[in-house]
Amino acid sequence: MTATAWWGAIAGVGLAIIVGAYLVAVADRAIASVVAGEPMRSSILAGPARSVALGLVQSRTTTERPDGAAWALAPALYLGLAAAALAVVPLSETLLAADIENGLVLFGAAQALAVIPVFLNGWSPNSILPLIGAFRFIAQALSYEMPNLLALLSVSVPASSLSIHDIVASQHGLWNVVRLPLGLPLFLFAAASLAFWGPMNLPDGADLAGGTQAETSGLHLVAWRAGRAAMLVAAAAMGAAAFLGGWLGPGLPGWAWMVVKTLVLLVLLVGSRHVAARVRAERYVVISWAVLIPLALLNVMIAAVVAL
Amino acid sequence: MIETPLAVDVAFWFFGVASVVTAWLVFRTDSMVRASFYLLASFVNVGVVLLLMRAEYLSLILILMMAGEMAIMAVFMVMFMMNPAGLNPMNMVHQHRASVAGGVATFVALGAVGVFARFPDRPARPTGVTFALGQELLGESMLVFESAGAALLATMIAAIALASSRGRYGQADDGSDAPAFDPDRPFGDAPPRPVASKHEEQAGKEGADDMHDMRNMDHERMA
Amino acid sequence: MTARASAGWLTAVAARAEAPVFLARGIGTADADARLRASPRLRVLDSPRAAAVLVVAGCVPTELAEPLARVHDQMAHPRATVWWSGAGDSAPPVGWSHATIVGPRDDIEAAVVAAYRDVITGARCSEQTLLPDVDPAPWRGVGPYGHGGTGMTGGIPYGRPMAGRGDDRRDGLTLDVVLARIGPFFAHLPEGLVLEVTFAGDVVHDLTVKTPPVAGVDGLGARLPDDAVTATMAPDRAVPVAAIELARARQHLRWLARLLHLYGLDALARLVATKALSVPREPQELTALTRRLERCWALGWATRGVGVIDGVSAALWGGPVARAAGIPRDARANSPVYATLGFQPIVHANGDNCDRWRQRLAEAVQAIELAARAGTAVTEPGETIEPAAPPPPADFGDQLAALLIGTEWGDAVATIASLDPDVNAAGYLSKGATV
Repeated sequence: MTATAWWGAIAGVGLAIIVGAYLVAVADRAIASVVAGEPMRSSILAGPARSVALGLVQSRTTTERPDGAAWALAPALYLGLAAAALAVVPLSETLLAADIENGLVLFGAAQALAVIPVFLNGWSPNSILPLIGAFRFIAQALSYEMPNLLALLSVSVPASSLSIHDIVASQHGLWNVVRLPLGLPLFLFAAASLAFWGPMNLPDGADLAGGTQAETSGLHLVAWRAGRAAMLVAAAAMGAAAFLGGWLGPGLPGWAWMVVKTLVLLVLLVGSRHVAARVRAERYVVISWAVLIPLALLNVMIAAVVAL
Repeated sequence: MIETPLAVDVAFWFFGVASVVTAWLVFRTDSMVRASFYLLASFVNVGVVLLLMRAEYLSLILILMMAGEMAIMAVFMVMFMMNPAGLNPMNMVHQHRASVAGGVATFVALGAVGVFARFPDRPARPTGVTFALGQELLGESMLVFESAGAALLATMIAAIALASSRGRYGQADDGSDAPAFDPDRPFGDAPPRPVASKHEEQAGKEGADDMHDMRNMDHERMA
Repeated sequence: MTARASAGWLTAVAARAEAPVFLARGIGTADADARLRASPRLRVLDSPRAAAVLVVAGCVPTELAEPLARVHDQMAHPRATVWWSGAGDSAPPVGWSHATIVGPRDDIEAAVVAAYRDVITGARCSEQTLLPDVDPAPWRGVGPYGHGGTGMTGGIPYGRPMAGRGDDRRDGLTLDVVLARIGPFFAHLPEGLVLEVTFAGDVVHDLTVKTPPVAGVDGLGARLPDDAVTATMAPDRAVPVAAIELARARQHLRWLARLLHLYGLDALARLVATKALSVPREPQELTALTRRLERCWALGWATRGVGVIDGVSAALWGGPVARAAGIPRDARANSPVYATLGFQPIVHANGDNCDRWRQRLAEAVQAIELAARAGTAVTEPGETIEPAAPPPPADFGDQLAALLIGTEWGDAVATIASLDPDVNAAGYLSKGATV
């Protein structure tokens, strides 16, 4: 890879993260307006920018003897992992930020590492409610990680490859969402859990007064919210590539198909926040282990049959 | 010698040194959570070094596995033995002589491997490394190995199901207690929950010190 | 110069954001939460950290003055306070001289937005800390490694003992427990209530209720006018039934808005809060909402089987909690005027969180129907009026402990919220209840 290509890839991923995160915030407000039966206000488009400006104006607060370095690191690390996860998803047949042979494994590794910044964000402030949020997320992560990885693995079986490019190419003619019908729902469940969004928001729930973000303000809070939005974008892009045939589609150019499919999944994920109540931690864990893991294993077996 | 671009050389030394420094910090820090995350940082740095060596799959799998493991380690340590947020300083180093001896012996052994082993001098092929690695490790036994993996997973889930209170003392989310050891009561009919005494929190300094001694014993036992 | 110009540009954009508000509820603040939550120009936060405006509503008893100051000091700069209780011209409480004073009937939304804009753009100074920033207790640890104690673990930093091991409450795992005090301004607890909770991870290992403050003693500010009509047990005058029933519907809808927010359904919470501010006069206007909530399987799933109160306990709690458990006890059933309106108490069977929100929603619809039918009908003087939110039982603390120990914190908060006890009700306090 030449230096130009490197800088192009970094700029492309950065731009996708910023635009995507802003779109998440806009979609969130728009869906909230629809659900609340309110007219669409101009604040739907401009509101996120104003909130970011407020974050820049507002000071950071501190707690009694926090681990300052780990606390400051948490949102940056979470954003970085979202960017790394997004980098391996191809926008079109030729447009790909990080062309590596094991893109699927890198995506999985970035998702697995995402547990660390969430835990750090809750642990570092040395405060009880964020700490409980951090605990909850570990329990949540242990529960969703297995269905998530198995769902991702299932798409690599028919493609006989761990490269996302090959996985998209293998869906020529029949998308994985049809071929492996259990895969996409499992993956979306894990995606919402990974960004602890909507019904899966156990670590930052209202019952913990904001959970891991209860003690944060200003730029830290903006970065944390942006990280969650970016993680949703990365997951939606991956879902579009792995299950909805990525750039494949008639008429439109490949990148346009990819953008459309990503947006569809993004609206599904963002909208879940306004129609579904937060699940109970106990139910979440039981469902993950007792229902979703067997389903994910079944999904892998279907994939094996398909591959034969 | 293998010809590598300067950037790769610089990155190799950077991440190599970083992995050693973070590994050293594991023993210099005063909190279990920090120690386990320094250990994770060290592993991630090793992972990047593996990536530079074109062992893409090995490096990513190392990072993937270690992330989950260190998170579990940290959470268990905080749950079982630390308080407010595990931020109270504590001494992380003990059994100095045995540790030093073990460390020196391991270093000599690994160093000997590094010095005396014969390493190949051809660079790996740019593609198909993962496939080759699978062939090398498992060969024709891949199917057997994968079936064993699925069986192990099922066993683990079954073990957790058996070990959890569900089915023994009722649903876990009822906040259930163990049944009273009383033949007159039907099995599984939990006794009324005792109203907790507050003596633990109200125990002053002396009580807290006793608690520490007890906990120190536990630390020793675990170590 | 350039830096200042760019900062001015940034603050101008920030000043147009929704004002992040933390609401500190004093006594007599039934309306406060819904009025702030329904506004599109405000965003009510659960934690004071990221809030720019602290709204203090109602009368804050003297015991709570220090916790209130602590909440204030936790907010990020720039910050402002709006004191929403006094008459427009009354003097601010001692120590809060920078606060905006808003009368009970004034436009709170406009006052908060103005305070927010002023403090963001610098037209108003950010408020200084009220309490000195000192550690609650000095570091008392010693030790060879400077880690504060003997052995490997630390000492008693800042007066807090190390976590001790709790006995097993639930699943065979004996975990460390941490003692924490939640309240008195925690957003999802009844106003002024303080809980001392011992946490084992996410599980409530132990729980004690500290005495809620006594209303009407001396305090800062004054009570907001609330719907006293349903809080009074037996007024010695005739009261219009329509007023009673609309107040009941309003109370139930306010409660429902808070519950929906607790479950993360913020957009629906805003919708319900708007309805609570101007209660619809036609029961059909709640039909769509009822259908939507009944069909929301996730809400049913999150509340069903949680916090079951039945039998004797349910009877002790009374009101909607008892009726949700199938006890058809309602003062209105014995009232001649309600008999002419064809009143029948609504009941549900299971007595869990799910049935409690369904009970209150159904009662809100029924109250609107009764109000529409009542016309100018009035109660008889001295007649007992069924309160919308009855006072809690006398052994409130024991009841809560029995209910919540061993449950997860999320369930515990949801259960307390679902009970909606009026801890500051006049009748309750005059009984001299001990909690």
